[in-house]
Order: sequence, then C-alpha cells, then structure tokens
Amino acid sequence: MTEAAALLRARLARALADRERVAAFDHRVWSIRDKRLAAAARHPHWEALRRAAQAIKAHALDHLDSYLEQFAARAEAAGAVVHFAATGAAANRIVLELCRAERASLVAKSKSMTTEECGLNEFLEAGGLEVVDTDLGERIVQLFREAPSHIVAPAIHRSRGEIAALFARCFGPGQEVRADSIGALVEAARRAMRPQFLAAEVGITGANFAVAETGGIVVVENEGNSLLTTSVPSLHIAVVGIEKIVPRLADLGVFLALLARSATGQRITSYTTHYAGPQRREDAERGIRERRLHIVLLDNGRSRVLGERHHRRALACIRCGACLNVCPVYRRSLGHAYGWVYPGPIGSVLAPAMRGAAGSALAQASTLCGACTEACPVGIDLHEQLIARRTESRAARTPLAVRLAAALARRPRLARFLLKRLRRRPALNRRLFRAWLAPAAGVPTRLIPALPRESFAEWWQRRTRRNGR
Amino acid sequence: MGEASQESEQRPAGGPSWRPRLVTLFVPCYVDQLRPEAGIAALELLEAHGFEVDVRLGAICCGQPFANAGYAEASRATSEHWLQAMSGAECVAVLASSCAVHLQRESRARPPRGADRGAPEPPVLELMAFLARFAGAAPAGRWPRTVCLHSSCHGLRESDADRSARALLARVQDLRVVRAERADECCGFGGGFSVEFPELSVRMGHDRLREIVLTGADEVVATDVSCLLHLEGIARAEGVRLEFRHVSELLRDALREAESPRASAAQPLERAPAGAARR
Ligand code: SF4
Repeated sequence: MTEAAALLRARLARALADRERVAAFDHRVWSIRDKRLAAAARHPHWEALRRAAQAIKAHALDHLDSYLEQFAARAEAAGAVVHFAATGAAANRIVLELCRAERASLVAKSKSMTTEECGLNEFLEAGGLEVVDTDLGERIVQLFREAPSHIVAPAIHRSRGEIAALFARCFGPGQEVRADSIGALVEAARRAMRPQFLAAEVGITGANFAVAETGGIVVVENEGNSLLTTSVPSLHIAVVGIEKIVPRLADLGVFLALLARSATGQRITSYTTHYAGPQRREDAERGIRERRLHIVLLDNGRSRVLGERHHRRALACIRCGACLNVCPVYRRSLGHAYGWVYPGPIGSVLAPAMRGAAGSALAQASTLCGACTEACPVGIDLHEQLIARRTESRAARTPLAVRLAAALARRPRLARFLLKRLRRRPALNRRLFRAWLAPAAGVPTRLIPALPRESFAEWWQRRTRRNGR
Repeated sequence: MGEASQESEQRPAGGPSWRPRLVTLFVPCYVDQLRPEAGIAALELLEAHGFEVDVRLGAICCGQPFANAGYAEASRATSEHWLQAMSGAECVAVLASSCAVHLQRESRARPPRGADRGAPEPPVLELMAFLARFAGAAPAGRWPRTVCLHSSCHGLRESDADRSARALLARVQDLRVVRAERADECCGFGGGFSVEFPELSVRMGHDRLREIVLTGADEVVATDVSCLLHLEGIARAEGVRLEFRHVSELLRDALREAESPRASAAQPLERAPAGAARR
C-alpha cells in the first residue's frame, strides 16, 4: 500500500468513526439517487437520450480544438472577451486582474466547481477582495470555512440543526433562526445575502455548457442566485472548463434533459440562462450603461485527459453527481475524505491527470461494483476507468509477492500443495488474514472463514479415485 | 437496472439447439480452498440435471484478482494459462460471476484462435446462466424456506448470473425468495479493497447485513462465494445467526428434498454454532 493510499484509508476510517453523521449523509445522498431513478423511469426515451449525449460528446471531444476556436470567435463577435487559462493559477490571475481593473472590493460568485478547482476564492481573498458565494449550499460551506462535500449539493454533509446554529452565529445577534423549517433557514440566508448581491461590483459564474455554434454559455440553477449574480454588477466573469463545449444549440435539448434528471431528479431546473454576449440592459439608477462579459476557458489538466486513450471519455462528464450518489464508498466518506474537489468515481478517474501522482491512490478506494457506470447519463465507463487508473499507477516492476502469486497461479499442483499445508496452520492463517480483520479499537469486526479439512480439488480427486476413473 | 449491462456471453456456441454433453466445471481458487461445499453442490447439481461433469485441476485461477489490482501483465499470463488448461473443453461453467465476467472479457480481448493454434477456446458461462439456459425448464425441486438472494455486483450489472439465479429459484416449489432493501448495493468485499480499506469494507458489509436480516430470511444465497464469505465473517463477528450458501447448494438440496423429503428441510435447518469448523 502506498503512502497516499494509507493516508486515504486513514481519512476514510476517520469519517466512518462518526457513525451517525455517516448514516445521515448516506441517507440524504441516497435519496437523490432515488429521485434520479424515478425521473429517468418517467422519461420515455431515457436510453436513447443517453446514447445521443454520448455520441455528441465523443464528437465534440474529437474536434475540441476547432469547436473551441469557433466558440471563442462567436463569443467575441457577440461582444464577450475570451481568455485561455492553461492552469488554475493562470485563471485566478486573470480574474483578479479583471476585478482590480474594475476597482472592485466585493465579488459575488454563484455555484461553480471549476472555480473551486482553481481555489479562486482563497486567491481573490488573498488579493484583498471579499468574495460572497451566492448559492445557498456554497454559502453554507463558505461560512463553515470548508470545501463542498458534493459537486451538486455542496453542504449535504451538514444537518439542518448545524446550519441553523451557523446562521445564528454568522448572521448576527437579533437574527432568530429556526432550525425546524427549511423555509425559515432560506429566509434568514436571503435577508443576509440580499445587500451583498446589490453591493457586489463583479459577478462570477461557471457554466454548464458552452455552445460553439452561438458562442453563448448556459448556466442552470434552482435558486436564481446566478441570475442575480450576473444582473447587478456591470462585469460578469465566467470560468468555464474547456470540456463544457457542445457543438450546437440544439444539443442542449439532450443535455438539459439529462442533467436536471440526473442531478436532482427534476424535469428541468428552475432557471436556465443563456448568455450570448454581455447583457444589454442599462441600469440608470446605478449608472450602468455598458455591461461586460469575460469568459475564461480553463484547461488545468483537461487536455492531458484528452490525450489519454483510456480516459478521454471522462471529459464528457456533465458534473451531475449521479455517480457520487450511487457510490457506496462516496456515501460513507462524508465527501471530504477523498481530499480534493471532485470526490467519488469521476473524481478518482480525473485526479491522476488533473492532480498528479497524489491523485492516483483514489482509484484504489473502490470495490469496482459498477454502480457508477450504470448511473452515468453520458455513458462513461467509470469502473473500467478505475481499473485502468490502477494499472497506470503501478510501478514498472511488479512486486515480488504479486509475481510469486502469478507464478503459482500457473503451477496449480504446487499451489494446491502449498495451500493444503497452509490450511492446516491456523495461526499462520490468522497472521495472513490480519489485514482482513479490520480491528476497530481492538475489536475484530469480521472473522476469517473457517477452514475446511478438504478442498474441492481434494474431494474431486478422492471421488475420481473411488469411482476408479 | 441493467442500464449499462454488457453482453454476457462472448460466443453463443453451436446455435440455439446446441446443448453440451460434457461440462467442465471451474471452481475458482478461493471457493476451492474456503468453501468446497459450493463446488461439490455445483457439481452434483449439474449431474442431477443430466450433464456429465469434468473438473480440470490444471486451472486454479482466472487472473481477475491481478487485473483488478492493476497488474495487467500477471492477469494476462494467468488468464492465458487458464484458457490453455481449458482448451478443447466443450463448455466451461464457472462458479463465480466475477471470474466468468473476467474470462469473457479476456477472451474477447484476444485474437481468435485458428485451427492451427490448437483447439478453439470453449464457451465460458457462469454456472447460473448455464443452468438457466440448458436446464431452465427442468423440475427444480422443493425447498420450504425463505431465502434472501444477495445480488453480487458482477452478477447483477455485468452478467446474467443474478437474473438467471432468480429465474431458477422461482421454479423451486414452496420457496419464498425475498430481496433486501437496497438490493443493488455492493456488500463491500471488492477483493483487494477488503484488505486495503478494511474499515470501509466491514462497514459496507455491516449495512448490507442489517438489511438482509430485516427480511427475516432463513438463509442467504448468492452467485458469488466471495460476497458470502465476507458477509458471513461479519455476521459471525456480530453474532448474527444466518446461513450463507451459494445458490447451487440450495438448488441441489431442493432437488434432493423433492426426491426424498427429509424432516430437516421442512423446518429451519440446524446450524453449526457460529465459528465452528465446517464439515
Ligand atoms: S461521471 Fe457521469 S455520473 Fe458522474 S458526475 Fe459526470 S456525468 Fe454525472
């Protein structure tokens, strides 16, 4: 076991130790899975939709360079300014400079895993700006000073009671926050966040899709916070991963249907906003006559994934979170145990390319049950990719123990002879199985199988002898 | 279910009327060593359905553990050896869906063998899929108990094993088959995973076990002995008294029970005390 894998095991074990929290987390995440299944079952052409999405994405990724050029040209023709950022750090610098040029001090940001990936909040704050996350879940984890635990539901690891206590603490004295109703919590957040929406000088969003044909970007959301984030300030910056490209506007008919159902079980999200160039509305009250849109196209390891024969398909991901919701490991991890922004199966597939060697241990933490592959709306063969990641992470030289085992697997007589001897040595067996016993505070929680006197092969040999064959 | 399930047989040999006479039974290494009863039951079940059964001791491991751990070379060499040991067989029935899936995958990945390169590779079927196909209409006996069929992931998502087992069990008289809540949730074994992440592996198994116990079943059957050994290890540690057997053990006993009803089967079976050596 590598050091990184041992660390991962420790983090996962630590999460598990909080049994009740894990059970509640598992329950909440599982319920999204149920919603997805119900929504998918109600769609008359679900499988056809999945196949179409897969084909469109495969085509888009095969021609990503030309579609990106087309997107950039059309976006600029529509009045946006397009930047290319090779790394998260480069994207951060571009955003900070734009904010500085705007003389901004307060930035409103709607939900975006891409900016989480870059660590944009921390970077802007270090640059002297105040950043307010406007998505409720994002705002909650921001106030807790922690990372999102789920790519769609960032605060799903927190209970309603914890959130009420947080709001009471952060939104100041005199704010009575009742934990017994979600409506009251939302209302408290709304009251606290409204002034910040209105004061923000820059609005930052991600994008769910970038349409090459129109040069427009599309943001889906349920809270309307993205709309507010982009409506008030005169500067809108969108940070968009290069894999978000779809060729045509019509393709959205496929992807919007898949995304809403897969992510939350909705038929359509409450708001779907198309930004084709900057908004043209004036805001006389605030003296805004001209609005600007800057689009930062982010690579940050994506072109590396594109060049990996086995993993290119993983770039088709629409970040719906379905593979997290079905993953029995993710549901017991509290999200954070993976140790980076994209948890769950898709994160473990992307990590080695986007995060380097430290990310390759993640692929170990899977039983390869295949629930992720079954769920993925865009047909990514996630569990096969996890196996491929394991293969890639192996050192060129196979360890001695594995070579020995493989040699024995090809010498069945010797193997059976040795195994027969081994079965007669209970103490040695216990030693060999030690890792299996999972001592939790010294108490074994899984016993090793009782060893039979006779193996199947020995029984078979005895039987054939007896039958005189 | 089955959204992404793949074709489960790589070569449906011999057309629709083909029925092998001689079946080669493959009992994977860990079943051979840890749960021989499952292998014996599989063999007796095949014989009871009129097949002649052969076992080739020259094959011990299919190579899957190496492949899943990321040792592609070791896997290839092991699978290669396995296929050689089985060459010329009319048909191989595999007593584990995970091994069957792996062998079918390996077989697909290899260039087809011509006559000049020795005998063609035999069709490889998981045991339940084999029985459902060739003995699916035969009488299936009687077993007056309640059983929970635990779905293994390979049996459920990557092959026909689970569906076949379900169909075969449905034909057994007086048998009540129940499913646990979250029936498609992994038990947490996962081979090397159970050693590298034991806390997680046990927790997953514990959660699965709890749902199984809630069904009130007298016994648990599955198409993969690996899930069973893992779940049984947790049940024993927690003092849960449940019997864990491969589906073929139940099917064999059901046939025998129909032939000559034994009092033992009419009521819940006597169980060995937890932790006692088997047989
Ligand atoms: S990999 Fe598939 S299931 Fe997972 S988040 Fe991406 S699109 Fe959704």
